[in-house]
Amino acid sequence: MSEAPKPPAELAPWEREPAAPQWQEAADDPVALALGEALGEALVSARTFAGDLTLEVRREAFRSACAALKERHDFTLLVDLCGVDFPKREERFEVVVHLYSFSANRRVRVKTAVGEGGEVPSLVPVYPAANWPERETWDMFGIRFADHPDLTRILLWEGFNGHPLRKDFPVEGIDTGAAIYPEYYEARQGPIAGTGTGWKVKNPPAAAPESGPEEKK
Amino acid sequence: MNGNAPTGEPLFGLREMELNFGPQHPATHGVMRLKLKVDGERIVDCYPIIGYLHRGTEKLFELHPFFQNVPHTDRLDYVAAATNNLAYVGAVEKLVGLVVPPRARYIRVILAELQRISSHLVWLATHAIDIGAMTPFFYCFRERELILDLFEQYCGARLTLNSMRPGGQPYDLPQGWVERCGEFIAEFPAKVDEYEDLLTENRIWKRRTVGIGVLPPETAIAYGVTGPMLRGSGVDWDLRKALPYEAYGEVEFDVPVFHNCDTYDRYLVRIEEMRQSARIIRQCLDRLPDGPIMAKRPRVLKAAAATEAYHAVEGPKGELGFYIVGDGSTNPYRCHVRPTSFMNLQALPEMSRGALISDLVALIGTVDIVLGEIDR
Amino acid sequence: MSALKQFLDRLLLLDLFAGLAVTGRHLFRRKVTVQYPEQRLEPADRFRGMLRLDSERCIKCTLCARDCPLDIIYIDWHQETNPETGKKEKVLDRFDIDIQRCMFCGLCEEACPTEPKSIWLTTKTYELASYDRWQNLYVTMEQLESWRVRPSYTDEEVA
Repeated sequence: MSEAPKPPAELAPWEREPAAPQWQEAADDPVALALGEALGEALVSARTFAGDLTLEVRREAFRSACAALKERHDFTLLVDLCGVDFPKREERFEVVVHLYSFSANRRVRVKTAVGEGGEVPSLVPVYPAANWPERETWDMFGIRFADHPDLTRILLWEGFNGHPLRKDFPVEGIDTGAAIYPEYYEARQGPIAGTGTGWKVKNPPAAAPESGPEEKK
Repeated sequence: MNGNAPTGEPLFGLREMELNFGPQHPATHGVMRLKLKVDGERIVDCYPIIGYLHRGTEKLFELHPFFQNVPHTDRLDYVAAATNNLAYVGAVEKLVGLVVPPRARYIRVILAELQRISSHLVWLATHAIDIGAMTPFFYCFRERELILDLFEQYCGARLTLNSMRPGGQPYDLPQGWVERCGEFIAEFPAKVDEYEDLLTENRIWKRRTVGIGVLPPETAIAYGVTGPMLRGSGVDWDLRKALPYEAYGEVEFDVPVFHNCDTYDRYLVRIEEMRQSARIIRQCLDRLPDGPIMAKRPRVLKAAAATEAYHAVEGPKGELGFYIVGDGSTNPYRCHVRPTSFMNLQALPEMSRGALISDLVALIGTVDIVLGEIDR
Repeated sequence: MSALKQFLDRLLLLDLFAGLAVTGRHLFRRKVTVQYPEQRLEPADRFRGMLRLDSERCIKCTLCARDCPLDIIYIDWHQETNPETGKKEKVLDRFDIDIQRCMFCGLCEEACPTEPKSIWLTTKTYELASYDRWQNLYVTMEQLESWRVRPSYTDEEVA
């Protein structure tokens, strides 16, 4: 809480300015300690933010870290798996998985960094629930998962060119080869921002895509 | 390669046939395609293909400040809009450190529980009519009209509510709303009894649902299934009790759990949940505190750089969570939805192997999917 | 005794008759159907319907355009010196809404700082159908200020 002088009446928490949570080191958390012993150097960091323990591990140790959490600490429920794109970093993607333990009633977040073209060991052998979220992460970001039984696009169609949730993918979309409303759009151009569709992009993408769409076979 | 069953074996045995349970089908509750490999009427394998309703919601979230994304969250699980709103604003509040005043918390619980009843009514109506019972459809939608009227009086819309903001509520309850809501709650348990009269002891209903779609608890947990599907398999877990949020820590209610792991038990779980929701609403209406409905928040709400938060609520279908990454600006850097039905649908192929095609209709109904949430 | 009762239940279809009794009771109850369009329900006071503008009250702050989640409000204004009072004031050139994409969320109304609001959705109008698609795509300032509730089809001659 802030160190401002106390007001005349005691203010309730919702009447004060919001106090943003801070990252805190969590090296002494029992789960972090046990995982640190098991993985050694592969555990890059263990921190807490707003009560959630966040463990960052190296890419090669991703599956073994999650397997250790499942077998030894009873984190049996895979809550969610997703990716985040940080284009300015050297390893631009981050794969984030949330696990939950029924007996300890707590969630833990495990993260790993992977670069473009890199592969993350798939969690499907450990958690069958990771099947579709990994497919979605592949579809949206282009992160490959090694040993995934069926790594194909799930939300978009096979043959789509591009990974939409990357930061350099335009919000207005790309030409997918479909000629829609040729009287409004130039041939094979697709929707263009600011013309007739009403879309105005507040934060235009930083970099244009390097190559255009490939010919549909 | 193009979405075929993932095993390496030859695709069809001599008696098998590929049946397309196509994207346009009244029983799939949305646009979802199932590729079935069937041997006569028995399903050998089932491969769901989704993505027909993909609208790029997660990309849209990154374009606008936090409070402007609330209408987009309405459209995820469009049958339970208040739940989506609640999960999203809860995640933003966790990210930024906002504390919500008690009156707003109670109003949110009332809206969320009304929404749970409404979603379960839609579920019951469509599940029953898929199986062949037409009457519950009309009765459930009649009750749902009353709930939608209550929503309309509160926030102006019936389905896509836009009823919550990070930090509290945008509007206070209008005059007479508490009384009208109380009247609805007073009559509602009798209506649930009516639905039970129609279905619970009905031998046709039991033949169609008992023993169908058995999902053992270990398999359910392995597939990340949550919500009534998990509670129908005997796992006593409800986020409202395990990790309470808003005002759920202060109200009393029971969580129904049944142990036969089949469709009939999931039906019983949801029916009982409707009654418990009415109980929760009654307590909240009685104890509604006075006071402000919006926390003190900065004019421009920003999240600090390199912060992230995950907040989940117990929606009518299971755990609905939002994972938000902040980057120091007014917009979320990444806002990922943990979609309940997406994870629950992964268990469908497990449940449907060996079932009849007509059982598959019951199974899709019992998973209670909403394609808006699956495809985002 | 209970085995006999069960046998009779099953033989005489008593569980099915219990369900039929529920439906039978409904036969004699008041029906809740509203025969639209002859009978219409009036929406609630806060109902978010068609947008309406009052450009006299509008102070051209463009907060509504900034808060729109879909960026479909287009506002242009310029400064002019009022010849009578000599003061500089803002003149609204353009206040158009791409109503095709509007989701009637009400954030523009919430953002409007004037009292009473200059843009509002509580017009209790949801009947926006028309015979010509092009009427309903893009609404200009004049239309926003002056639209009338279209008469129902029973009032005018059906072409």
